[in-house]
Amino acid sequence: MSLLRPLNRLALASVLFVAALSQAQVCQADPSGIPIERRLRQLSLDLLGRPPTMDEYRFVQAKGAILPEDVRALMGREEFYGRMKEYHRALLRSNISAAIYNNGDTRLNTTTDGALPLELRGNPSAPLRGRNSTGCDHFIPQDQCDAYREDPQNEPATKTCRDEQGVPLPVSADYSPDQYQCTQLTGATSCADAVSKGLTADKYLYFCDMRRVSGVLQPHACLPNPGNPITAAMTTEVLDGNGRVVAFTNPAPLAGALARLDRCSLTLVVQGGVRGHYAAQTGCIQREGTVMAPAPYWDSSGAATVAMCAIEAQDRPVNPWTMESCETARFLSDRACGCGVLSRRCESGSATLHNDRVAAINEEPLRIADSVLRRDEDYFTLLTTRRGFVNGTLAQLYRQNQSPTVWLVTRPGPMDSVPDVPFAAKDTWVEYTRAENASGVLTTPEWLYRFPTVRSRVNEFWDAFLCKHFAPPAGTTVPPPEDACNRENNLSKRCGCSYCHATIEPAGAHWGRYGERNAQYLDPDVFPKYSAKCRDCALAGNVTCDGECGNYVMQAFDGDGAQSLGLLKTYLYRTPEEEPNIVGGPALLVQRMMQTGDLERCAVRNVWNAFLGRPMTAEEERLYLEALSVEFAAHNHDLKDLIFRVTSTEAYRRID
Amino acid sequence: MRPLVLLAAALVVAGCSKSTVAPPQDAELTPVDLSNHPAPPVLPDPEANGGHVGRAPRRITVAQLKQSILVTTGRQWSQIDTLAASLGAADFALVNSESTEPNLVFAKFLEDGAREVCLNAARDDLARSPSARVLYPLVPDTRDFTTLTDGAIRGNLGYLSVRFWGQPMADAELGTWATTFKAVAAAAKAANKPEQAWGAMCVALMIDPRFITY
Repeated sequence: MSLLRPLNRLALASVLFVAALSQAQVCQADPSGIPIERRLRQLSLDLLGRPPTMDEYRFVQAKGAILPEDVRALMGREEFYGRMKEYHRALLRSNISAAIYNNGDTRLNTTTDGALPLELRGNPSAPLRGRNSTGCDHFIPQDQCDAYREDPQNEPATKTCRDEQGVPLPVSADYSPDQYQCTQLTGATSCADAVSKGLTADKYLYFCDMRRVSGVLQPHACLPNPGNPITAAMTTEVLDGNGRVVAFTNPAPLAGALARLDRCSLTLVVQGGVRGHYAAQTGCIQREGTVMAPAPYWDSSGAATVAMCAIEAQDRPVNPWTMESCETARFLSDRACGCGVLSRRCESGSATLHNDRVAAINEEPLRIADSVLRRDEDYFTLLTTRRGFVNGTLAQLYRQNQSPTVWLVTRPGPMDSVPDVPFAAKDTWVEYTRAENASGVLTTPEWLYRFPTVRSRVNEFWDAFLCKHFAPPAGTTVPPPEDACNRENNLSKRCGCSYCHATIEPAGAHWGRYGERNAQYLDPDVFPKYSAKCRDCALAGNVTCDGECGNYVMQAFDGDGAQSLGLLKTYLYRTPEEEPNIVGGPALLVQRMMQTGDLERCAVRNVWNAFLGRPMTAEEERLYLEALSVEFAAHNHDLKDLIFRVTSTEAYRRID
Repeated sequence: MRPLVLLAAALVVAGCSKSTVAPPQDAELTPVDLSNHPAPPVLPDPEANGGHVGRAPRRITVAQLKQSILVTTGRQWSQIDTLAASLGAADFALVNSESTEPNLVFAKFLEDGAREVCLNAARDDLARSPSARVLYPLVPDTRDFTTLTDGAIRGNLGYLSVRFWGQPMADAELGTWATTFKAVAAAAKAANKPEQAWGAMCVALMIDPRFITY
C-alpha cells in the first residue's frame, strides 16, 4: 500500500497534467471529458426529473457548451420546482397516510332500500341501536312514526317519535340475532295472522317479529338462541296476566352474566338514571326512522336535502339533557348529537374524502418549501415562516372543524385568517398567514402527524436538518439491572438512556405545546402551564379529571412527578433553563441551530446526497463541505445557488 | 501532488494566454499574473475517496423512469404507477427511501414496460409522416425496412442513441446494432409485423443500462 500510493498519486498527477494540457489547447472543453449530450442528460434528469428532448439536445450540440447561465436557466423552469417538491417530500417524509387512525365509524354510508337514507352503521350502532352494523328503519319517516306499525303487539297505542328535547326515539324494534334465533312463519302476513293460523302459540305473540324478506314484512318467531350458551340457559318463561311470555330468564345465572331477556319494545333504557343517557334494550335492535336533512358538505349532486337516519341528521353542539359536548368522539354513541351542521362531524361513505384530506395535508409543507424556493428566500425560512397554504379540502376542515374525531387538528389561525376556499376546490391553493406560534414546516399538521411524538419530532429534525443521529457512543456499557439508576424516571438522567435523551428531552420541549399523536396546538390561554383543577383531580384520584386533563401531569411516579401534579406534561422534568424552549417553540430551536452552522452543513450534505446519489465521503467533506457551506451562508442560504455550486463541482461533473 | 497540479495550471495559462512580454533574462524572475484565470479543478484523492474522483453512475428513480419513457417514446407505460413500489419507489409512509438498485425485478418489469410502450410507439409511427415519427424520423417513408440503406439505418440508430441514452453510439457499436436491425427487420417482414423492426430496437435501447443509468 505504501509503495502503491506514491505511484497512484503520480498517475493522478499525470492525468491532471494531460487534462490541463488538453484544456490549455481547447480552453472551452469540459474538463470532465464527458460528452456534452451526456452532461445535459445528467443535469436534466437531476434538475428537471426528465431526460432532455431532442430539441434540447440539438440546441446544446449547436451551442457546443453548457454554460453556467444554462444551468441557472434550468432552475427557473416549472419542472425544477416540481423536482424540488419531490426532494422535499423525501426530506420531510411527507405522507401521513399511515399516521391517521380512521376506522370508518364516522362515514355516512349510502343505503339501497326504503328512503335510501345516509346512515352510520359501524361500531357506533351498538350503543345507538343495539347492535353493530345496524342502520335505522329505512321505511318509516321519523316524524310520522305513529302512522307506521310493524309490530303493533309490541308498540304502544300512540307512538312517540321524539322525546321532550326532540331526540329521536325508536320507531321499530327487532329481536337481535345475537341473542335470538328467529324462524320465518311462512303462510302468514302478520303476527296476529300467524297466531290465528296456529303457526306460533299465542303465548309467544310478543316474541313474534315482523322482518323484511325481499322488501316485504314477514312474521318471524324469535326465541332465545339455543346455540349461544348464555341465551340457551334462558329457559324460564315469565308470563303476563294474559298468559303471554314477556321475558325469558335464566333460573341459575352466573354472577355478572345476562339473566333476563325482556320482550322488545320501543322504550329505550335510561342509563344510570340520567335522562338523555339512552341505550337500547338488551337483545333488541331499536331503530329510529328517517328524515330529510340538509345535504352533507361533500354532496356534489346539487340537492338541498337528502334522506338521513334521524339520529345522524341532528346538529346539536351538546346533549340537551346533560349538556355534554357533541364535539368529541362521544357524539358517535350519544343519541342526542348526530353528525352536526351539514354533517360536518361525519365523512362520506367512501374513502375519497379521507384520502383528499391526507393528500392536502401532505402537500402543505411542500407548498411552503416551494414558495421559499420560488421567492429566492433564505432557505431556512422553510423552518420559520408563518406562511401556510390551504386548498378547499383543508380550508373547510379547519374552518368547519370537520370530522373532529378523526382529525385532531387546531385551526392554524383565527377564523378570518384562514381563506374560505370552497370545499370542492381541491386544486385551488391559497396562501395565508398562520398564527404566531407557526414555525414553517415544523408545525404543519403533516409534520405533527407524521412524527407523532415530541421525541420523534426531535429525531426527524436532527436527521433531516442537522444530519445527526441519536446513538450512544461506541463501546458504551450500562450498569447492571439492579443499579438504582435504571429506575430513574427522567430519561435524560437514566443510565444508558441519558446518552441521547439528555439532548432529546430538552429539545423536545420545543414541541411541548403541540399534542402528541395529533396536530393540536395547546394554546396557553386554554392550556395554562398549571391547572389547579387538574391538580385537585389528581389529588382526589380522578386521574382523567373526566377527560379534561389529558395534557397534564395527573400521576406521580417520583418526587419530581409529585411536585408536578397539575402541570402541563411538557414541563415535567424541565429545568428553569429549559422552560423557554416550551415558550419559544420550534422557531427558537431553529434560531439556536442557525448559530451552530449545522443547518448549513446539513443542507449541503442533503443536496450533495440528492444530486450525487451518495453521501459525501470524508475526502469530499474535506474538499467541499466547508467551502460550500460558507458560500451557502454568504448567498443568503439560496438553495438554488447551492444546487448550482454542487452541480458545478468536479465530483458531480465526473462519472467514474 | 500539489506542485504538479500547479505546474499543470501554469501550463494551462501558457496554453490559453498569448503574452507578448519579453522573455526573462538569465537569473531574472518575472511573476505571471494568474488573477484572471480560473483555478484548476479541485479533485479528491481517489485513494482516500473509495477509488473514485467523481460520482458513481446510478440508476434513475421511478419518477425519472416515468418521465424518461414519456420523453423518449411519447407514450406512458400503463403499469408504471401500479408497479412503482416494486420498482423501488418510496411512499415515505412505510418506505422512507427510494431504492435505485438495478435488480432483476426492476429489469423484468422494465422489459415488460419496454415491450408495451415500444411496440405501440412503433405501430403509431407507421401512420405518421416521417417528420412526426418518434422512433424513425430519419428513414424514408416505407413499411419494408429491409430496403433501408446502411447509412439510413446508422443515421437513425445514432439519433435513437442520443434520444434514449444521451450519447451517440461509437462507429464500432453502430455497426453491430445496424446488423442486428437488419436481422430484426427481416424477421418483422416475414411475420408481416413491420412495427416490430424499430419497436425491437426501441426495446433494446430501453433495457440497455445506458437508459436506466446516468
